[in-house]
Amino acid sequence: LHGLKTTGVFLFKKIVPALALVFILFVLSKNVIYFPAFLRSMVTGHPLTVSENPPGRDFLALIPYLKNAPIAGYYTDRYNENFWNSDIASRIYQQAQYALAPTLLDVEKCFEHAYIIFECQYANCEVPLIKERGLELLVKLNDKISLARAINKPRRTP
Amino acid sequence: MTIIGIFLSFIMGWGIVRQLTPHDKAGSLEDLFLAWGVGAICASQITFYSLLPFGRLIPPLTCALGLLCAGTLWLFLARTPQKNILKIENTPHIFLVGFLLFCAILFLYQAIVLPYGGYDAWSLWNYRAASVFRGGDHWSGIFHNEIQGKHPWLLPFFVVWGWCFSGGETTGVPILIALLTALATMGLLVHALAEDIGGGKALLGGIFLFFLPFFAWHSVSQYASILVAYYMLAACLCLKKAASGQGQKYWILSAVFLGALAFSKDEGLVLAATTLASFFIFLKPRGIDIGRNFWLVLGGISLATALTEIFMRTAILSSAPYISSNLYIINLNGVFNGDRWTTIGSFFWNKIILHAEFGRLHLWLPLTLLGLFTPVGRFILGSVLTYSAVFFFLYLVVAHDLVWRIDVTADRLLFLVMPIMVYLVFYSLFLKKRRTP
Repeated sequence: LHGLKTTGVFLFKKIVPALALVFILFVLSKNVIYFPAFLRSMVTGHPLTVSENPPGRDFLALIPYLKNAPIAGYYTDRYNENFWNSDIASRIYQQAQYALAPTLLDVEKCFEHAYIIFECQYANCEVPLIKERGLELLVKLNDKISLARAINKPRRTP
Repeated sequence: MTIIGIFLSFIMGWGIVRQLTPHDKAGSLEDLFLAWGVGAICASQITFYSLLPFGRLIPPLTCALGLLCAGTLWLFLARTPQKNILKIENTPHIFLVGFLLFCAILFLYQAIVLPYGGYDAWSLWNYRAASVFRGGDHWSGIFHNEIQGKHPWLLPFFVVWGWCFSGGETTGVPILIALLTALATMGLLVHALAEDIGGGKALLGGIFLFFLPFFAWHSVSQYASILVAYYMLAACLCLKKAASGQGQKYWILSAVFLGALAFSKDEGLVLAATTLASFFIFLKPRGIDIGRNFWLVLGGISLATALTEIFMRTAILSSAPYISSNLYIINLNGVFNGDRWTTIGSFFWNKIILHAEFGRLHLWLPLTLLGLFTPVGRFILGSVLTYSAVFFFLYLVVAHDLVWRIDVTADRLLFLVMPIMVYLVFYSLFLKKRRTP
């Protein structure tokens, strides 16, 4: 029994730390070898690369129009059911939100606000909606992004 | 100017840490690393309170308040005789400084390539900082967004603090915060390990942490995760030292760090609770009075945090539209859904343990089980495992798309406890003389 105990103590105090140290060095060496590839993957695999900075730059031209608006509607035709599950739609929305902060962008009830931003997957998607809802086109930055205003509608503030 | 704000917060932290240290004791590298965390929470809270008088951010007011606090602390410090401001005393310390400089260079390279950080950095953390900084009178509109309003505010306020001093939304502020927090985390880890197991192995622990892809990524991602990881490590180390009778300083600092942990991220709130509970179950030795100061400081910080949270979530809200999402709907039936158990389990195994995304092994994590043989190890393991269980349960019951949720959030859960886990592995393996603190 004493021999068994001595062996156990020896295993626990000497062999286990030694094996663990070898294992740690093995993991460390793998990580060190992998590190340059990891650094490269950070740049190439990043959703927003350096050339696209700053985030939401396509929306920056809308800032003067929304300067005093606490909240604005945000319409996009990029999703069908769940906005948050649509990767591209939510990514573009987040960029717009960052660029236009602190104006809040409401996706769910976008037509209830005085200002509505249109972000289109298909060019000029805002045209029928503006006609249908009687909105006034304030500015059209390009085929994809435009800003409209509700006519004779009281602005809702948070 | 960017550096001045960050430096001023550090000065405040340093002043507080030095006030808590006996005056006949020289300042150590450990004080330096702890001061960073204390300064961060000070700067963050000052920014928040400077918003209140006029309901909007007035940068000169925030700067003046900061200067007043830092100046007062500095005056107190100057009036008491100090032995040594900072003493770098032995070879491991010199190696540690060199190692941190090496890491800083690599981090800086990454930060320059990604000046706006990771996706959540600008879409969540810096977005909220930008809202406060640009906000004028309607900055508080952000609380009407269910997702944005829910997270604690330590990091955004700290970034705003830096921007107040730099005079604009410079990318340098969040980069510096992330970089210095990562360096302080590694420094604290190596310093603590050096005290327990010796300088050489401690440095190996630091190198091991640095080369973990998770750590390398999150250190420059500008997420709040790195702050939580730092505060978790600092809180555990201070609690350990306090329990081993190393002075009232560590009781007070551990209270500060637990409060900061709760104010830095929702996961940090859970970690603060589990760490405190685990400490009283596994580590607090009988016969040691934890002192009135601990409760006073913890109570004060909890109150400040709670008031800030309550203010942010209720007082600002009016009868205005609330932008809601379906991300937080709870469905308790998920507990009885076998598919959810399988999905979460397989995800943890494939993505966390095997870490297939980065292609590296995380099979070293089971080594943390060696912590079961020491009281300190049981304390840390108890905290981390309870925290994991809480989030496992949350994954089961949150109704929203499970795969999307764990894909987005689960790997960060592991990162938050990674520095303390590395500490635990090295501490358990190489502690020369196992003794109860």
